[in-house]
Amino acid sequence: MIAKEGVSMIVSLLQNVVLMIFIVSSFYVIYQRKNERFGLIVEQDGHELLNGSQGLTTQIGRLRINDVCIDKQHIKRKQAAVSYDPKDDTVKATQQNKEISNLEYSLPKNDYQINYRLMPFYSAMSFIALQAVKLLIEYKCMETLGLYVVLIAYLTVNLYLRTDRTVIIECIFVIFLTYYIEATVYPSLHSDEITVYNCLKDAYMGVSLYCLTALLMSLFMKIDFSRRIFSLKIHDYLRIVSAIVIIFMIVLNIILLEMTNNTYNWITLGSITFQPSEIVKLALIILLVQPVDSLFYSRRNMIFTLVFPVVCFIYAFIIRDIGLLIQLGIITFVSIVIQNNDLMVSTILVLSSVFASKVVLKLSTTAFDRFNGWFAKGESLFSSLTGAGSIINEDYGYQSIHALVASFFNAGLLGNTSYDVLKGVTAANSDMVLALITQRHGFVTLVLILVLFVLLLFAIKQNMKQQNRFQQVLTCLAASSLFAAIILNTGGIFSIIPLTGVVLPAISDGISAAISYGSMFGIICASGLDKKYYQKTNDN
Amino acid sequence: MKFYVKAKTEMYFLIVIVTVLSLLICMTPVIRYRDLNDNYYEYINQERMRKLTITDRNAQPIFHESKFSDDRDVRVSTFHIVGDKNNGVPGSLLNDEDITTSIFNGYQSKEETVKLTIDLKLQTAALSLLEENNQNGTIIISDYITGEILCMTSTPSVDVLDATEIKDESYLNKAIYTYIPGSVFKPVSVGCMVEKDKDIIEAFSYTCTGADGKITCTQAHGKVTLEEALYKSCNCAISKASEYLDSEDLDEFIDEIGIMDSDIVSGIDIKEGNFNSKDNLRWSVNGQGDDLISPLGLMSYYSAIANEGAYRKMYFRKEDKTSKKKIYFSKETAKYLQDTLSKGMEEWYGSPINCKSFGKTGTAETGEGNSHAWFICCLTDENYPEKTYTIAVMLKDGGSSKNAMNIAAQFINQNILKNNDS
Repeated sequence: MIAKEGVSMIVSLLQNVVLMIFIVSSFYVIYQRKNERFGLIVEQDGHELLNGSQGLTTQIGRLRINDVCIDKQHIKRKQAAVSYDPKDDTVKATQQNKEISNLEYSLPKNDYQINYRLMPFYSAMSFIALQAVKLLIEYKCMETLGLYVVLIAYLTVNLYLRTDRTVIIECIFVIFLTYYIEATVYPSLHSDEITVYNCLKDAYMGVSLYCLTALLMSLFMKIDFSRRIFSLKIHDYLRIVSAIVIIFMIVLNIILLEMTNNTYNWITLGSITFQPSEIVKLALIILLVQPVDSLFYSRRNMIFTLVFPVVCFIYAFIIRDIGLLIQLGIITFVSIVIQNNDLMVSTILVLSSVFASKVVLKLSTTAFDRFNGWFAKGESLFSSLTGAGSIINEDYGYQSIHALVASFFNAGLLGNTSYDVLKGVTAANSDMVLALITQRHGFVTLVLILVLFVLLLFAIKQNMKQQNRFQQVLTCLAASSLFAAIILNTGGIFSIIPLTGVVLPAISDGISAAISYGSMFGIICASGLDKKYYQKTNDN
Repeated sequence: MKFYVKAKTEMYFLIVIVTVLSLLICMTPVIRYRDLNDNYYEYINQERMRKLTITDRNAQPIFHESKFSDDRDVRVSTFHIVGDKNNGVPGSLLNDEDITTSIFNGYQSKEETVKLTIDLKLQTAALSLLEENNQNGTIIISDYITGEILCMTSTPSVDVLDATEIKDESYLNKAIYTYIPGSVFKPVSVGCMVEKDKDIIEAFSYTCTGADGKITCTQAHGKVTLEEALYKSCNCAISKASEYLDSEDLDEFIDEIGIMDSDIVSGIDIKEGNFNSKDNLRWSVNGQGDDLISPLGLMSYYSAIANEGAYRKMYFRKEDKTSKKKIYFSKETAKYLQDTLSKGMEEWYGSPINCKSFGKTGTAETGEGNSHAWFICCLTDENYPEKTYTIAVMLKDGGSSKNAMNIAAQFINQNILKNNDS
């Protein structure tokens, strides 16, 4: 028994060291690439309009820049496009099918050495191996190893698919998935009815779905969506399909409405139980991306960008899912703010979202109760922000206090697998998953996971440089959605904000979220970088 | 604003939010340390109780999987040893004060069985006897050869499953608390005198008239030797004999043997006693004045008398068993004290116990209200080779020491000597 605890502690220590190496090396690689540019440098009458850091907007060898500012008066209505063909090394600039003159173009040069480029990849691989060892010691079940093979395969495939051979986002995704595996097999620890094999079935399903959707999504993103089929662009078809999916899912959910865990977002079709809201979230993200050359105020665009979000809000309200409502609100807000240049529209939007949040709190009793439970009456706001509400309000605080105690006291620095504070706590491996992981891996790991979140944002920001406009908008929306979930979940677990019942992407147990969050990770790690173009701009 | 600038801004915005969130998360355990730590210990104690089994020496269950015994007498008599689930009894087995957690891996949960040296039959019998006689006090039995404590009960006690009516001092374990000893302390003083100078045995002689200055006796004992002064409990003679001692001698002797110390028994913290002969040696040698000592502390001394001057450290959990001995005084002194007190048992007390034994009573005047009644004895009968027991009875405000002696005698005759086969 003591020997097992000792080995588990040593593995935890090694994991922390490896994770630290991963974080430091990733930050170093990102730092080295901070001046990397993949766009075109555009000059007009000797004045530099764009320096190339805006990211590339090309698919399959074609480069297009949309934000070239020709006529400031008409920026809203008239978009110009510049295309670069790496085959002939020619640049063509058009504005509403007319050629633009007096612009000069050049390609940026990224001629510097990047050290330790593969270090994050290797450290992530070692981390996966250590996680496999840890689980093997605990469950003594060889079948778990297959899961880690899937993860390693996913990472290796991505390494070879990427032109720049840097897979930081993918590595973070895979590190999260190792925790996902742990969370999924967790219920078998405290139950005689649920065996490891039952859990492993879910784990295999979840991990495969996550990896597959992420991989397919990042490949799907390489398609040139501006290509026309018949009269419409592929992008337009995509929006229509998303709209149909949203309507279908909402109707399906409302028809098969049934109450589970105080919400209505689970439906059962035959033997499959899933959450349509996850698909709705993903479809809305795709729907909200505005085609490059369409106008923000056009009727079709207005239907897509304003009517559909409202429909989705009403749907989220009907199924009583506050977390979903907040996430959808954030996605819509971000999509409108980043895609239009009208200050008025943005201001109105900010004000209306503040108003909406107040109305929601008044209308929804669940949200009101949760807020009241979290809020420490008679104490300062800072008190509430550091868990006082959970301590004072016992009805609300049961889950939170157990989570706080488990992660800050029982975990120690290196994790405790002997005594489980979260045993018997509802949703320990889904809503409360970070507390569970911290308890099992230690406080140091919690800090490292929080740093991983920040690292993920830096990596996304870096990766956006190699994306085209469509990918960039999607990345912004997907990142908003992912981080809304991360902030709501993490903040909720540690009583920083009220609990919302949102799961943690790629870590919480559950299969429904695998499709949506897997796709989002696929989106944020997608790259539009072409091999030939990369070779031209990068000497190394 | 250009699109990519907005996108970049969004990322920075998220970075700031996540960083602030992380800082708040890391601050929470620091700011809420006390509340969370209390909760943690509550959880751990519940977990520990879930996996804890406490049994007596014959494997009779006292506490098992968070449940107390169904027998009321077992619950009440073992209350001060086992404790309750709310940390009510300091030093008890269920108290969370000795739970250890590591900074590296928190609390390690494990199945735990605590086997006590307590005999439940004696324990419940002692409780019944004290309750029948309506006395607040303690009965302790230990084995002076092995150091095992077979019985340690204290009244009034608490029934953890029916704690509606709680009397004063119910939570106090009188065995580990200190009281004025009175005459039961005399063997300590005489032991010190004999250790210092053997000639005193022959040389000392005193005629008691019932009073000597401020020192008084209950009766005029007439001409007494040191031996008679001890077993007849003559205050005047003993205080006269203290002239053979320097003022520090007795303090040094007591310090050295450590009967006032808190660690006289393994596994339980005893209230430290008090002895200061500097101001009033003549009263102190009689166990009066500022003297304060715990029943267990005095028992250790009597055990040493029975065990040829060596005290075998007492314990009540089998795991605490040690082979450590502490020599209190020489074999000769032990023999002298044993013979004297045996004689007293026969001649002075009229052999209340149905076997060979030695012992001493004590009536401790508290200055207010009733006196504490003490009786400590050791069984030395060869016909009962197993029963090498030291028995201490202390009745708080119990009046005359005869009460204590009668209870002890009744207890020994009925429960120890009759059940020779147990």
